[in-house]
Amino acid sequence: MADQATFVADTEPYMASLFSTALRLSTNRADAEDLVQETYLRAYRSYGTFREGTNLRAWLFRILTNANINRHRSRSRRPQEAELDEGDDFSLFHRMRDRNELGRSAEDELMDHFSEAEVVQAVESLPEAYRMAVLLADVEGFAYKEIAEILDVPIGTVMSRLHRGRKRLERELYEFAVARGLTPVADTAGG
Amino acid sequence: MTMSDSTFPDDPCAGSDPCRQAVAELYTYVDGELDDVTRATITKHLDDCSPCLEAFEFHDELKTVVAQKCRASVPDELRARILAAITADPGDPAATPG
Ligand SMILES: [Zn+2]
Repeated sequence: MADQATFVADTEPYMASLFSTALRLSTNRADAEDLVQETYLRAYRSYGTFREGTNLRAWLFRILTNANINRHRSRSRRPQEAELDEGDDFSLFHRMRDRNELGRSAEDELMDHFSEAEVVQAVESLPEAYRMAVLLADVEGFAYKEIAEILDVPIGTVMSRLHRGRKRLERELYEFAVARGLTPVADTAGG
Repeated sequence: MTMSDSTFPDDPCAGSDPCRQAVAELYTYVDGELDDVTRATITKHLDDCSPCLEAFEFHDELKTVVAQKCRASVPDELRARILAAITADPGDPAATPG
């Protein structure tokens, strides 16, 4: 049986990361809290199988991923990888640039262009598999190889989910900007 | 008919091979996934090509925006609940005391 103090000392630093991800996956706090608690209990019970010197944070995220899948068995686990939609080619950068929404120091302004609520809502609107890839890459900063191991998919799948997830995220963000009147909607009539 | 946003039709460098090669690696570049040689090649291109540089910086910043706005802190109550659950848990049933 894993020593409780050791386990807690080793894993507690990752609780905020796991909770942030769980929150964006579950979209409500109660489910997210349950998911993180379940992740910790599963991790504690199998801590003996964790190999010292390997990536503990990635190991915990893999457990969280599996716990999440278990909780939603009825949902399909994998998206249709081949399925493309028009959002997959969207470029927020070009839309904003073409509307002159990007100033000379556009990089600094982007942070203020979208509210926290908008970014969170855009992320939560993504299909779960795409959302997870974006969260692991952008929020948690995992390498593609680590994401592949966490999600148990090939690296090519990670890259395609990231690509599609990011493009859809950009489209969602652009729609928020348009709805707020921040950017002209001159092109809505065209095709 | 859908129009692709993925190229730079309005840019002076549109269609040039270095731009296309750079844009093809946009995500792998901002994600830090490239080998040193490819990364250096693209960095060199970005030094010379402001439209590409602007696009790369935009995507890099967008990553930062998503990261910063999606973080949440752990409620004290949850932390306490998890620690209590671990304390009360018998642990790994298969493990043998060492
Ligand atoms: Zn270029």
